[in-house]
Amino acid sequence: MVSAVLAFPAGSAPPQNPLQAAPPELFVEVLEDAWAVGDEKTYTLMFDRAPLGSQAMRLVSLRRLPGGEREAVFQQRISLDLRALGQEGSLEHSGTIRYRLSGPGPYHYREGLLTENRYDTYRKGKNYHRNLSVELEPAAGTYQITEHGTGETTRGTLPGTTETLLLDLLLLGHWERVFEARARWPVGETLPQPVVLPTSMPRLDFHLALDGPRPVAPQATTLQIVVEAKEEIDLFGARLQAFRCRVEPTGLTLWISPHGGVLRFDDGRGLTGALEP
Amino acid sequence: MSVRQWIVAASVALALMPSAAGATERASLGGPISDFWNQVKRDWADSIPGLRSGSQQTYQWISLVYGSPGEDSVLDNMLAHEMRTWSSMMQRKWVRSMFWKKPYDRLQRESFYGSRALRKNLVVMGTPASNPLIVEMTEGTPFVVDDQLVRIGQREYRGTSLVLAFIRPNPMGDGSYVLVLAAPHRQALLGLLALPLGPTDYVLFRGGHVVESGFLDWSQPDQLTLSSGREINPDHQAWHEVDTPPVRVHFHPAEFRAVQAEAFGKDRRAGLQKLRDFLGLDLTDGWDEYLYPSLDVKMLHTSSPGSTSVDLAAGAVHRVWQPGDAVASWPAAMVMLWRAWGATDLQGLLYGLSLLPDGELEGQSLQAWAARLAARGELARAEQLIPRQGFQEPDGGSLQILGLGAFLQHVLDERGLEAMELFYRQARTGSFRRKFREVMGTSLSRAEADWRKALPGQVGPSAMAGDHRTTEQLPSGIAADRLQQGEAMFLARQDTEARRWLQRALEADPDLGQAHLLLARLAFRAGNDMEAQEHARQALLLAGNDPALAAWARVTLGRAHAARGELQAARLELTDPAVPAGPDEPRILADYWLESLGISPSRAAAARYLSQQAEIDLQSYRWEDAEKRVLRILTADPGNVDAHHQLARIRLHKYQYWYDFAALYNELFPGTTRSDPDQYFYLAQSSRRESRKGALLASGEYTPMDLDLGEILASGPGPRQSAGSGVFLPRAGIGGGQHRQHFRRAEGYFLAGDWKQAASNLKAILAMGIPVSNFRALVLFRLGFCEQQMERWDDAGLHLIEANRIVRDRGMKAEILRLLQHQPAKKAAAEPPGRKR
Repeated sequence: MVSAVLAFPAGSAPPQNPLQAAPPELFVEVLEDAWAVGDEKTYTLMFDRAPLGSQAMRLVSLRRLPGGEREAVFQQRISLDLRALGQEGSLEHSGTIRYRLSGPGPYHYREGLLTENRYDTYRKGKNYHRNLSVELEPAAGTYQITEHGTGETTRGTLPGTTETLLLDLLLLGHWERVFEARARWPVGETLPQPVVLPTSMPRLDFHLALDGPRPVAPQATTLQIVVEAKEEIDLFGARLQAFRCRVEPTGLTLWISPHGGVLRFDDGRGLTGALEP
Repeated sequence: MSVRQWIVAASVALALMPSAAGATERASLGGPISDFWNQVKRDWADSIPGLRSGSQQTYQWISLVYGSPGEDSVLDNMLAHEMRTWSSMMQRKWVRSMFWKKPYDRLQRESFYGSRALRKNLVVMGTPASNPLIVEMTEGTPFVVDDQLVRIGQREYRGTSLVLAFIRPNPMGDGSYVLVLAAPHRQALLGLLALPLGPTDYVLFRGGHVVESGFLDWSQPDQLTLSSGREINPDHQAWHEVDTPPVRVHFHPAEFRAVQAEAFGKDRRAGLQKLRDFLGLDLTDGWDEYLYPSLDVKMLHTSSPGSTSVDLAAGAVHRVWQPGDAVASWPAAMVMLWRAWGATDLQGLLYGLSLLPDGELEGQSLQAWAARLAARGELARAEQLIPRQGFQEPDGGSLQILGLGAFLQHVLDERGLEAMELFYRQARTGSFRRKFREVMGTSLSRAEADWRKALPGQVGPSAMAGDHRTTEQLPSGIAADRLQQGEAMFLARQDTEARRWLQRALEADPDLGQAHLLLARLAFRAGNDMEAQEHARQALLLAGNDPALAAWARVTLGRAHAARGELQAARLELTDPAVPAGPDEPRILADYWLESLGISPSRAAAARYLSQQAEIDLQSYRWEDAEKRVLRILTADPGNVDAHHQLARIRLHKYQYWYDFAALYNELFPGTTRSDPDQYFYLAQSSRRESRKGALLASGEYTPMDLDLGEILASGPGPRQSAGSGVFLPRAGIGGGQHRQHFRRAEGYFLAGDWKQAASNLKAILAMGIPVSNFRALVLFRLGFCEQQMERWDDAGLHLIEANRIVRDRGMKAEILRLLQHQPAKKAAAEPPGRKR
């Protein structure tokens, strides 16, 4: 389902059969079914070099829809220990992400901030807790956001195309979707990707109290994704070849494996994540 | 070890067991190691009622045969102490049990060999040389242990720190187990207390690291073979060795080049002069150095966190190292001291002495460490530190031992090497205080007091950043503007701009402490730890009476030290009194860094380590420590299913111990105590809650948010609600009251998904013949359910049919019928009801 990242030298034409004739580092190419149902990836998140928490995603189903389309359903969970930010409490975020492999699907997530310092069997308190569904119809440029429990629904229109993707910057699962959408990805090339961002990227810092939900304010924008270089990175002692991609205007840097998955990221503002072995 | 592994272990073991022959049947032997204690309890349940309960009851005896003493009396004492501590821990697993302990030579001398004592559940411990029973016990098993190696099937392991633990039927007994703890070398058994035993039939450790574990095929108890499902962990397979005498450097060719390893070895060789000069050691035997590129790789191979660890039994040093890193001598000194001057249980003394060749740690002299600790009022007395345990892992909290190192350095300077060596050797065998007086000619206290007087009162700021400048200056107008700009950029995370403004502010006023602090934090963010330290020290000098500045400067300095692997310096800064005196953010951050200091930032690796440590704590009845470690896993990852189950087990374990203890006390001293065993039921409830959380999370339908907000647990369905709740228990007087505790236990195990333990406790209730039919039906029903989970269809069918026959409760009847429908059709039809009655 995800892409495989292969690159070729800038200026040279891609060979006829890249798998046979080209060295593997020359191309960016999509591989089908890189995920099997039940596969899970977990990222260790760090803030200013302290372990902040983890982000895990798991493919829970892969099914064929009427009309021959296929849909992948991922569950994603983020746990943040806010003591790494000098604050008490922890943040939980879980979401269900559906992809139609030919296009984007709805996105459902829940988010809650728990204010206690530590895990406790009888923890009850909460700072906030909400349950949101976000649906986007890219061709029509319409979106609908529903907050379950309160019954509040927000509808609106945004400029969009059939290539527009729904992208929550916090969720690595969404980034996988971006890479899947590309057949080939040459090093050095900048690729525009129209996206709808349902919520703003959370700002994490020592002086910013994380005490409320991220405001829901969808905005359409076009990300410029540059595959800058191929380089060796260190993942908890394992040395791997990865493609460094810069995402503007977010300031995000992603390191992508030759199999298309996100290996590491750096939001440029202190938050980094690395795939656990 | 996870509950999942436990369940697998229990299922595998049970699947291999012969069919049960009804409710009163004695359970068969089938491992895993943790079943040893179940068997002890089963034996207790089978014993004569007057002997197992009431004020006249006797202990349930377990025999322990350990190795005969050798030539080194100090090592013998240490081994005997380790064995006694281990056995006292183990016998707490069943409060009515007691070890009968004999060394092998006395067993022979006193004609106990082949006696009734050896027919009981038996623990055999030692080396093949010190305890020939080891060799006897490996017959009919896939294991071979001799003085060189351990062989498991076709796989051979060599090394001095190997310990093999396995369980087998007692060949001298009738339906009892033997737990074998065998090592090729005696010193390896000194680490016995730190070996987590339990979920598998056998496990091989190398210095506390599980090298291989797995199950046995019990279908022929007198000829056990390896079952499928062996788990083999990395153990330096395919590693290369470069010999640069006396150092043997081990490395993986994918991580290091041979030339790098050789350069490392030659560097070590060049540093040998220090060891010779300071400690007069004979280095001809050499030692082994293992190099790892990261903490995670080291964890995989050694199960030990921290950048450096020492395996004294194996004479090996394990380090995280990259070419160009500075290398401390203390680990090698520790190995050589241990080998040359003899094993000692005075670990503080050993570690303190091992620091002397370098005379410093993390770039700072021992004297400076001692002075800083003394200034904070935290320099402990030498007589407390010399015998202190737990210094083999200096990353794990040995800040104070640096002061002891400084004191020993002083003694070495004053009295010379020969006196120091003599003190070390003599201190091994007697009172170290008396030996100090005899060897040094003065008391330890007096020598220490003299040394303390000579400690410098002030430590230079460039070395330790311990001073505060008292003058406070307000910044000039231009400097203040630039500082403000820099601060705004800093908060906006525009680091390049922030740095520019702050440097310009310092050009205008070099005494701006706040500017230095922000530059330190910027440097730390960027990974420039040296620069961060320099600016943080400057900030500390200029902090004046600003508590926030001082606190942040200490925390930044501590974090920079930690990032460079200087964990003692980091600990010293992060625990500085200035930190709690400041605002909340640096205080919370400092506590958090202290908690994760020396552990890999990889959440998975940290969780694995904490889980193993929690298991060791649990084995040693340190419930609070075990709970703390698991809570650390859950704080970082509330969705960790294994951690929820582990927490449940810890609480259940605590409940069982105190319940059993209170029940026993009441029986032994009736009428003298008002303690009610049921007062500990809150622990069982807490355990149930955690295991339910684990089960719900594992189902994938719930998230930690649901569980923490109490939405599910308060009102929602449990994972196995069909088993019923709010059970009426027959009154305590029936069957000696033991059925109540067995039922509570079974309930806990049932909820934790530990089918084997649950079934074992339920069977014990059936054996008591409680004449309350509905209760009996409930027990049979649950037993049937457990057996279905273990796919023991025959037994499940028998128990469910009997439950169905006697049950009166309609709801339960419906549940029983539903379970009976799940029985495989052929199996259910083939078994005539009551076949084994």
